[in-house]
Amino acid sequence: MKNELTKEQLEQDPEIERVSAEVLEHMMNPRNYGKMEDSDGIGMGVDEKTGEFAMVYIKVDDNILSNITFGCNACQDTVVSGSLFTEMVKGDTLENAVSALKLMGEKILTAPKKQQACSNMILTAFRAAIINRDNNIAGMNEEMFTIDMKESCEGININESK
Amino acid sequence: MNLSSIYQSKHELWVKILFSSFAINDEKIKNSIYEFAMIEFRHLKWLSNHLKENRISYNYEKYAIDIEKKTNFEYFEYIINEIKLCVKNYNPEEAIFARMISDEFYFISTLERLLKNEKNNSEIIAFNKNRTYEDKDLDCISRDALTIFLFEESYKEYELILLYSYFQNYTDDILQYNIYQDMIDESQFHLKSFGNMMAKMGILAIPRTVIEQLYINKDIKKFLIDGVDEEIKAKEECANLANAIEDDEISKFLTCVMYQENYHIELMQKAINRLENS
Repeated sequence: MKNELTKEQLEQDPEIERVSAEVLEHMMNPRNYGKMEDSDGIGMGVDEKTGEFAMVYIKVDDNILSNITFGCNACQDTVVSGSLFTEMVKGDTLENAVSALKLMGEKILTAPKKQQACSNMILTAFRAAIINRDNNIAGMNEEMFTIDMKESCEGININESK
Repeated sequence: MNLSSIYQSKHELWVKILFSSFAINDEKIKNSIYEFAMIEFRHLKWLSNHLKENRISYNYEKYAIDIEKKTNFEYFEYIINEIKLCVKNYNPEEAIFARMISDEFYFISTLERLLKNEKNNSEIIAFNKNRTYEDKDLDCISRDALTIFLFEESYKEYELILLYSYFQNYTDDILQYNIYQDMIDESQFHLKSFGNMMAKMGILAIPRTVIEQLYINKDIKKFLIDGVDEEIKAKEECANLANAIEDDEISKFLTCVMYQENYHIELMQKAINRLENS
């Protein structure tokens, strides 16, 4: 058999992209994808180097993240991350969702570099959506909040801008 | 229903018929349904022009589409039903809708005829997630690489079809109009090829919605300049995948796609030059 690696070899190589059954399911049927008309927070994470971006829409009722959707102009890794993340936090409290954001941020550091950048885009857009909601509660009439990811591969050194 | 909403339902109908054609195995039936999808796409073009002339905005939003069916017959019934739902919203007094109704009644009659013969029925494998491709011996790395490639590229082709259609609708320049038409035709061919490959591998899926930031009030020149870079990257992806997949037939197809990217770059460069000089 050509190039066939064992499961152990695949797991040991962090740079090999794999398509597990779970990932394939999210590729075929991404959860919570699309625009939300009645959102109260819209955030965008932009990778300036590639021009790719992700948008996250949130709706919070009584401190519960009652709805969250996303859209993106990015690769499949971003789609899968957005699908997994939104499914994980939807219906939870805002505090738990923020904790999940931090946990997922730490977890993706173990992923291949490219996947880190793509997953960070979703997390960044979610953070921006929370900022947008906070700004609007504070009285600003802001359509959305954008965070430019200057060093997207590392997921650090972000510049925040409206 | 207003015209913008009818546009959305027509867009959805095109996608539903197109992906039904990919899902069906029987080549003859597949081709007939693909032709219906192409006629639906032309309806969409007429409608977008009609909307522009009436200064009505439109977009490419679409509701979630559940395309998974178990048999050919389920698809025939599904398409008939979806067409009937769409037709209900037309105003038959308007010439544009009269033309659409005439085409769509023919689609329904063809599908009803197919439903009368049990030989036209068969099981659908397009969603079984088997990830085998005909009788080819793909190792796990090739299989994963091909899976990711097909998802990325089928979305990209769908996106390009919509974006170039939008730009085409809003240009008054014949040269640009023709360039966009060539790009649409090329992407239709690629989407058809990738969609059929996905169905054979049991991983057929509807592409996600193209978000409006990509086409409404878009700087077309910048889009084309970025697009040239993307085409160069796509060429590299095709070359790498063609080398990685040790299968002659798939590699030849990917190499063909790679050479077509050269033509796309040429067309895009021509459009950039035109925009610069206009």
